[in-house]
Amino acid sequence: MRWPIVSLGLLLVVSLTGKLLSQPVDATVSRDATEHEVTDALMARGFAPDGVEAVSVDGFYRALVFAHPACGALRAMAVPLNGEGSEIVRQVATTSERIAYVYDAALLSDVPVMRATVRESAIRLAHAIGWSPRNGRVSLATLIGDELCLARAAAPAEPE
Amino acid sequence: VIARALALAPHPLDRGRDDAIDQATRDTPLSRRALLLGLYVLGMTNGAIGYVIGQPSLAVTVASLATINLIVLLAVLAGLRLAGHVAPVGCHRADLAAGVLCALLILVPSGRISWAAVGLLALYSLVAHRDDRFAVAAASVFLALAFKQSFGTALMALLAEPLTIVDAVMVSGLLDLVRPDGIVRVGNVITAPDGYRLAIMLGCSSLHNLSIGLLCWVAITRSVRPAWRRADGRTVVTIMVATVGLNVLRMTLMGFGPAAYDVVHGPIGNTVFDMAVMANALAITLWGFRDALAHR
Repeated sequence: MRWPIVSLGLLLVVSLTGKLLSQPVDATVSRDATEHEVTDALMARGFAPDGVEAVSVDGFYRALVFAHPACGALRAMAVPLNGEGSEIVRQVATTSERIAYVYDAALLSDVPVMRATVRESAIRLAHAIGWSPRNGRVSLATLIGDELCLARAAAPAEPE
Repeated sequence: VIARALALAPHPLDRGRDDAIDQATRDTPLSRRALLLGLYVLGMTNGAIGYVIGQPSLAVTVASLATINLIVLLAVLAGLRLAGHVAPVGCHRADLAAGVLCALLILVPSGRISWAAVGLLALYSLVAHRDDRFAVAAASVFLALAFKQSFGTALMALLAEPLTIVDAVMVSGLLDLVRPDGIVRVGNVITAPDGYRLAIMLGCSSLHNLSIGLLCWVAITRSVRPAWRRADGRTVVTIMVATVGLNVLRMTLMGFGPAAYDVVHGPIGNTVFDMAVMANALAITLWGFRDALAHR
């Protein structure tokens, strides 16, 4: 009768150790990481940071403003992957602007909720057991601007 | 040890059933009761640790213990008590296979996966042990717990936009009734004529609160009366309607302006609302239970 107790005890120790060593994904940390990534990508394409616009009163939703000498202003927002912030983004955009969601090195017109949620959850799990170098995200980058600026954002990075 | 401790207090409806179990089956190396109890405890401990680690601060964790997690704790105790009365018969091979699968999932360093493992084990027990009313009752409680802590969260992540739009439709409808000055709703964003905008987000969705209300009902009802009854449906529907109603009312209050939003969505407002959801679910559960007893 001892082996079940010993097995459960061992399982408890191993599983709890794994939990204590894991790194949970925080929405704000994920947003900041996404913002850093999109900032680097836009700066590599000739855009320069030009301020931050607060979008929600709690400060979670905000738009990073970028300027480009050839096309003007472009805004970038990190929004939740599940699409709950899509309408907020649509209301931030003016009638002359277009919205593009950046995921998996592609510019998409809609949030890829199903694909991205499943994929990022799998990456999070793989990271937890040491199979993936990066942790999964809970946010993705959104670009708001005119056709010209979005085309520049989608173009290959400019050589230094 | 847990099995023994929880089995010490006889369940009021456990009418000498254990006496009917053959002594030979009691002496098997691992009983179904011990397997289920051990894995439920293991999964929930891991789920709880995963939850605490995922919280932004200790203050948030402590605050949540006073309201929502009080229901979770109540459900955990109720589920363990019921599992403590599962027949101590020997495990089948299928039980062991389900146990091994559950144990492997618990090893994954994610609290949500541990809760999912508890839910899958409960689902298996619900089907495989349907001849044991205590196993079914315990499985119902653990399934409700797993839905709140894991399955429901995954479902909400996939259906976030439509779920929040449904809530926004109800909130804007109610706002239209009380402030007929031109409320406009697009998607999950509601705009007042003065330009004030309210976005309904997933954390405030009715489905989230529904899972809390139903968990409270399952935990209490199955503790007192392990077997399901047809009259339970009426209580469930009442809890669902009342919980959604409370949630919509809360969000409507937020739609009155920034000052109302700060009060209702602030720490005090959140605590008061969580307590209201809990009290509402508790009151309807007790009402439904008294009603069912009167019919006996």
